[in-house]
Amino acid sequence: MPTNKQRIAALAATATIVLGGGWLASLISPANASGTDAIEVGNITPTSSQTKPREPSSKPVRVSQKEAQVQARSGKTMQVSINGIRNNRGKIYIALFDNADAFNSHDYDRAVGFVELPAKEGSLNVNFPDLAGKPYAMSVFHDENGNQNFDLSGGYPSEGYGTSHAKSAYDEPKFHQASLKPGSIGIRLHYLR
Amino acid sequence: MDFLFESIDPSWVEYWDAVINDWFFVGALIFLALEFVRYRLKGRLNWDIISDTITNYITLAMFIGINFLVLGGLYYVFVYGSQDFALFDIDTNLGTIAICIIVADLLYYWEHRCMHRFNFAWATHSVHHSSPHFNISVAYRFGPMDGLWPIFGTVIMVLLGFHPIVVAFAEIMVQLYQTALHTETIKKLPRPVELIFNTPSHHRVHHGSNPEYLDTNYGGIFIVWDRMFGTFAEEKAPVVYGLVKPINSNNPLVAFFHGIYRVGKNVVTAKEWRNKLGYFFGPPEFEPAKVPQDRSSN
Repeated sequence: MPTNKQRIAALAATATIVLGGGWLASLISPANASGTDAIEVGNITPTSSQTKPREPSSKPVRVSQKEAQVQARSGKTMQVSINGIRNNRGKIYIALFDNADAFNSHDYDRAVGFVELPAKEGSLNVNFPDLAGKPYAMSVFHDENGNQNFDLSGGYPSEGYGTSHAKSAYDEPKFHQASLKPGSIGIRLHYLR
Repeated sequence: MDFLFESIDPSWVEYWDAVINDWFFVGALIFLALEFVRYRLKGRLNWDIISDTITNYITLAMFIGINFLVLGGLYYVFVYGSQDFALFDIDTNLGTIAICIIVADLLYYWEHRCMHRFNFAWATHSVHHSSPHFNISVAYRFGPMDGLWPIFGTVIMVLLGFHPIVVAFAEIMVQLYQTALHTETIKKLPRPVELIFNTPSHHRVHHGSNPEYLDTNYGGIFIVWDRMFGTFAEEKAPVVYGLVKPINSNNPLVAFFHGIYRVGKNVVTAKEWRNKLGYFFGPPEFEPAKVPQDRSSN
């Protein structure tokens, strides 16, 4: 039978090991975090065949902001603020659509703008300059584990995602609900896991 | 060594969790068949062992039913509720999973120790200890509320910042490791193993009703916690398995509910509040004070 002194010492040791373990684990960051910044976005594919909220399909077109600026000079700007990013891991992918079909069917081949940014806890601002004065819709996801996939498990997203004008995590607005003319918009990320 | 720190998608962890758990069950059934051959060869195979084994799996079915119907929702609410308050930002990779298993094992030690030292928890955990036999089927003998107590460790690990799926994986690994220890066929493993890890020998002691073996060897994977915290006992005398007061029944309902019935009856029939509290919060050896004025303090 342990003595009270042993019990207290045991509890103190336990608290130290548990907290120390959590701290140590927090130091082990992903190996690819220190790698190169240029991620090949060519192989973004859904990990499950089930089509739940907006998963990127094959080969999204990547249009950098500079290229967009060259294409059209006298356009309007969409100022996007992405909120609720839960940590600094991986990347945030933002796709901009002007086509209802492409948006509704998650066809990233036909996105007119595509931006990837290193994730930053809290919020990030992105501008899509030089757009026409017509409606655009946006879809965002947070590739936390850096595998360039929007991961699903059991048909539900296991990484953060968001859509312009979505009212909740389970709201899946169609293009006419999600779109807006260039201006400013906040998109909240939702994490189911 | 980079593979240790490569991010892993939690859904993979979930997949492997299910695969390992299910195949372990199949492996355990095969091992059980070998145990029965051994019983037969030693002339120990009898109806008591057979009906005890059947009872073990019936308690498992009832345990799983309660987990699904009652406890699953509780875990969902607490785990997803505490996820937002995580202390550390922890990635999922082999390194962090290994750390999580060590932490889960330490927290399991305390959960297990509390299950033996508080009557209200012993009421359910005593089901597992009520078999007078020791084979791998006993590892699957559960009490009605056995699924409740891990929630404290689960929430602590989620609050630390481990992904809930990694936490579940770590807890299953601790559980499966211990499951494999329920056998008399392995006597002693090499000294260094017996020193650091929990082994069949250490766990036989844990299941002993011999006075010197009571309340010892709570560890899951590592026995070092018991050695550090003063709850270790070495296997010397032959182990007498089961409870100090045996239930003498192979009726699955008697086995499953005997602990709750015993504690409930003690609490209801106890005379004074102090005794009722003792029967509920006290240790299993709690005896009501015969002459109440004898104890002024405590």
